[in-house]
Order: sequence, then C-alpha cells, then structure tokens
Amino acid sequence: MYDPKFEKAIQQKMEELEFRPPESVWVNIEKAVVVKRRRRSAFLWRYLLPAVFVAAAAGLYWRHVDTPAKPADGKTTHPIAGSGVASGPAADNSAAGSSVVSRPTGGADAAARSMAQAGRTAGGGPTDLSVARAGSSRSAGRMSIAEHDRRDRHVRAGETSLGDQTAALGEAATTGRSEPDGRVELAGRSEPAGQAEPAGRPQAAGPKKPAAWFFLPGLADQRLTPQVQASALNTKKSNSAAMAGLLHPLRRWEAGFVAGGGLSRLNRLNSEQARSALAPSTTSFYTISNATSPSNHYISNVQPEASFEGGIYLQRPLSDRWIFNTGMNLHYYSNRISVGQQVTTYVQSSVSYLLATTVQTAATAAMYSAGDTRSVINKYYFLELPVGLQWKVNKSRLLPIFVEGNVSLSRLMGASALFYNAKTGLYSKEGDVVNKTQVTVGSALLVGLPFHGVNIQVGPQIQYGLTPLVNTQGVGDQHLLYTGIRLVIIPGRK
Amino acid sequence: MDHHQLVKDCLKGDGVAQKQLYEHFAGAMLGVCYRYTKSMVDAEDVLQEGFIMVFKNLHQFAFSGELGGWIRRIMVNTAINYLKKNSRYQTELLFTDSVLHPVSDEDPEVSLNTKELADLIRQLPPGYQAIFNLHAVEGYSHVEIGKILGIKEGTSRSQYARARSLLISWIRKYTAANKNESTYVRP
Repeated sequence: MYDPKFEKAIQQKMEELEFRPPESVWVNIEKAVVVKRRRRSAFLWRYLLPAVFVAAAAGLYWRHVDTPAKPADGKTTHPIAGSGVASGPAADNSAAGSSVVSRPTGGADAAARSMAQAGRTAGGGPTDLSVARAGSSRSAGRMSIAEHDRRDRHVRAGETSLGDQTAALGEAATTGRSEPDGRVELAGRSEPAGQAEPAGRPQAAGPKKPAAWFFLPGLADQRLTPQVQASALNTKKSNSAAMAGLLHPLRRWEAGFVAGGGLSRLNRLNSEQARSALAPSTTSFYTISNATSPSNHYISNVQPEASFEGGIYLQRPLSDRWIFNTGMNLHYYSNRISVGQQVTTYVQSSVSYLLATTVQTAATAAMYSAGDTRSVINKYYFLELPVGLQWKVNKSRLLPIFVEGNVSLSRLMGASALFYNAKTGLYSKEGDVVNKTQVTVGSALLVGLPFHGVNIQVGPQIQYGLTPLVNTQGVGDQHLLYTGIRLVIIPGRK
Repeated sequence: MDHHQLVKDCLKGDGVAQKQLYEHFAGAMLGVCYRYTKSMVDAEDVLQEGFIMVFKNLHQFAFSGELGGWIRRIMVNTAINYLKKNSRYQTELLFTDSVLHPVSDEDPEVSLNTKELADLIRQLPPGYQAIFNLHAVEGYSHVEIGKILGIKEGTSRSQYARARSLLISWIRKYTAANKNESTYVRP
C-alpha cells in the first residue's frame, strides 16, 4: 500500500491549477451552442409557420365565402334587375305596402312588382328602395352586357320622347308578359283608393325571370310625384354603376393551395478547382486519416433525387391577361452524392493541432473521404416566398394556358447533408457552409382545368437557385435546380 | 454565486448566464484538461468540446449535486475520449507491461509549485498520465479506471504504481536540481 499523503499533496496542488483560456474558445463554444438553439427554433418554424399561414388562408377564404358579395361602388345596383328577382322581405313589402293595382300574371308580374316597388318608394321614402335594391344586388351580376346595352338604349329613348312610351309598352308586351291590353298601372299615380288591390294579395307563383327593362321617365316628368322623380334619378346613376361594374369586373384576391413534385439536382463540383484546393492539405489529411492515396482521390458525383413542395397560394388578376401571384411554400430538395469510407480518426482536432490557427468544433460528426463506396442523400428544407406573374396565352375559358415567371426568396429551415471541405478533403456535416438565404427564379407552363367551380392549374415547372448553395471557396459554385410538375388549386366562390 | 439559478437561466437559453457559467469554471477546467493532454492547444480543444457537451447536456444535471463536480466529470470524460480518438495519443496509450520503471518506497515531500508538478505529470507517457490523473487526482478506483479505459483492474494498478514511482523519481531529481541551482554561487 502507498502512503496516501503523496496522493493528497498531489490532489491539493492540482486543485489550484488554473489557466486563463483564450477568447477564441468561448467564441467557438457560443457559436456551437447558438447554432443548436437556432436549429431548435428552425424546427418550430418549419412546421408551425406554414401551418399558421395555411390556417390563416383558409380562414380568409371561408370568410369571403360567407360574406355576401357587395356591389362595386358600395351603394346600390340596378333597380329593375333587382325587381326582376325580387325575393324575401323587399318583394313582400312591396306587395303589402303599395296602393297600386298589381296584376302579376305570367311574365308581367316582374314589371308589375317593379312598379309596385316604385309606389312603395313614393310612400315610404327612398331608403326603402335602397334596401330592396341591396337585397337583390346579386342578380345584377348575372345580366349580360348585351341586355344592359338594350336596357340602356331604352332609358335614353325614354328620356327623349314621351311618344316612345307606347313603343316601350309595346316592347314590354312582346317580351312575354300576358297583360291583355298592355295597360300597366304605374306607381304613384292618383288611382282611386277603392280600385287598389287589397294589401297582402299573394303574388303569382312562378319562375322568377330577370325583368325586362321597363321605365318611363317622360311619364314620370308629367305625372309622377317628386319622390318618384328622385327615385328615377337614382336609378339612372345606379345603371351607370352597374354598367361600369360589368365592363370593369372587380378583381379580388383568391386563395388556394399549391403542390408539386419532381427532381432536384445540384450541379457537379468543379473538380479542377477542388483538386487544386485540396492539394496543399493532402499531406496532412492522408497522414492523419490513413485514407487512400491522394492519386486515387476524385470528386464525387452528384445525382438528382426526389423533391416536392406544398403551401398556400394567393393570386389577383391585374387585367384580362395578367395575374399576379404570391404565397408561401415549404420546398424539400434532395440530391444523392457518392462518398468514400467513413473516417474514424479525430481529424478535425488533429488539424487544429497541426495548424494552430484552425479551431474546429463539431468533433463527433461523421466524416467521409471522397470516393464511391456509398451514396448519401443530402436533404434541404426551404421555406419559400415566391412572387410571380402569369400571362394568359389564350382566351379560352375551357382550357386556358398560362405562362408564369417568378422570383422566390427562400430560407433554409433545415438540412441533413454532407458537404465537401476543401481544407480537409473530407465530406462532413457542416451547417455553416450553406447559404441559408437563397434567391431562386422559376418558370412554369400551366393549363387551367375548371372543375365544378374549382380552378385547377397544372403543368411543368423549372426553378433555379441564383445563390450558390455553399459558401466555401475553391470548390466551385453549386446551384439547386428543380424540375417538376406543379398543381395549383383555387376553390371557387359559392 | 447561485449555481443552480445559473443553470436554470442557461436552460432558458440566456446567453449571459451561459457566459457567466463558462467564465466561472473555465480556468479550473482548463487546468484539468491541461493535465490530461500534451499541449495547451489540445487542452483548449478538450475544454471547448467539454463545454459544448456541458451546455448540450445541462438538462441532465441533477440539482442535488455540485455543479463544479459535474462539469469536471464531463471534462475528464471528454479528455479521455480525446485521447482515445486522437491518433497521436492512440499509439502511446497502449497498456503493455513491456516498459518497467523502478519503484521507490519512500515518498518525497512535494515542494514543487502547481505548474511544475502539472508539467511533470504531463511528461508521463499518455497511458501512465491518464491512469495517474484518474486515480491520484480524480480519486477513481482501479475498477472504475478499468471500465473507463477498457483495461483490466490489475493493469490499472500496475500502471499506476509505475507512473507513481516514475513521477516520484522525477520530483526528486527536479527538487535536487533546483536546490543545486539555488546554492550555486556565481563567480
């Protein structure tokens, strides 16, 4: 047995042994720890952020669906069109509150109701009319431009001559209304109260057709009350608004989903540059790693692998031909590289020993020499923010064709990849060598396939990374190239 | 300094707390790493890896124990792994009985200062150095050392005995040389 005094003395002395480490040690530790923290937060971003955006897009979409469409000018729409399909409270009120004779038989009921509505306006004020109009605003959009033109002609004709009243009535008769004598009793006229139809008389049931244009301003000038004249003036203004809305349709944002799949590839390393970059370090590398001789060394092949994307899609038509789109995608790229044997020796620390200025961190990461004994799939996850313009090549509604160009700003969310290190001549997982922010350009040829109100676009797509994937010098620039099929789905409005 | 609170702050990702923890223990831990390696650069490498391991595994720290001891164990383990992985140390970490050193029965008084003693320990062959540090300084038993280094308990005992005697002889020589130097009168 030994005298423990010696051990105790040694222990005591060694407890006092302290040195002041250089600043570089903490810098490297901090770097490694911060990278780890960022990876954890990137994990959250990778899954949480796209989910939030998808949920927000879906919410916006359903909100749009639930909200009734409003007219372009935010006021009223065509009164006659509104009366043509008048339904609900407005139509019922017009029947109940009016003091005019209404003979809603056959096709004449729409015109009669229109007149009754005018009569109610005379009694109840213009506010009621606007309510009725608002309630029937949806039908304005269903009228064809030709129909509007025809109606507009009638308005102008009515304004010019009283004699045209007969012609207008005649036309009204020819549009299928079954008024036997062509007589229409206009609202606001001084009919005896006794001749009025009893309030609450049931309206004739039947298919609701868009009403024909039926308005007689000349007559209103002579006999209608001032309230009705004011209502007629409002009508003319709203006519113009409706026309403007049809000629220049409202272009809204539309939300949808985008998905795609294909192949991504990385262009081959510049072998000449890599060889020359490797040359100064071959001695140290092969001495340390006991790997194959330098003469057998070559740069590995890079082969394409599967790639896919998915995300939200927003678009807004700028004109009949041009459509602006944007969105957010999570894009997975991968490529296959060939590497050699795994290097088991502690190369990075040895390098730092031989070259005192080089201090490496990731000591436990697996490293591979160059070669083709095994293949490894490098994986990258990018969050992309694309901005693009689509041009509609043809005017076909059944099979529209779009050409798209886009620019995308993307951020690396995560990667599991081996990178070639020209200093050591090895492949290793080094997160710092990747350019995490990428700018890519892309193009697509898409065919539109309307399907039960759902707008589907599908077609080939190509995307190229303008920013080099790795930022290491001496091994040549490597850019991601993606080719695949893209599918855009934009649910239609209800 | 409340180490437990410091650990909690570090676990929250507080960078300032992490630096505080590092600065508080780095000096002593570099001393530990220095004893196991052959150069200061290697010692700094071990310190760096060790602290990365500390921050990576800080959630495993049981608040019942002492933080300094926990970090020290990590540093020792990191240093041993470093010796195993590093090719320079691998060749000399062979635990053979081929080289025998004289055993001294009398233990000298350790009059060297801390740095001098540490430098003498570092002059030991890597195998001896590791076993001597683990047993004499860290207080590991030979059974534990056998498990850590993957050797037999008996090998650890014999290696330690040789390391100890070698170190004692060096201490004697060093002390004698210093005495001679101090009594030397310049003409």
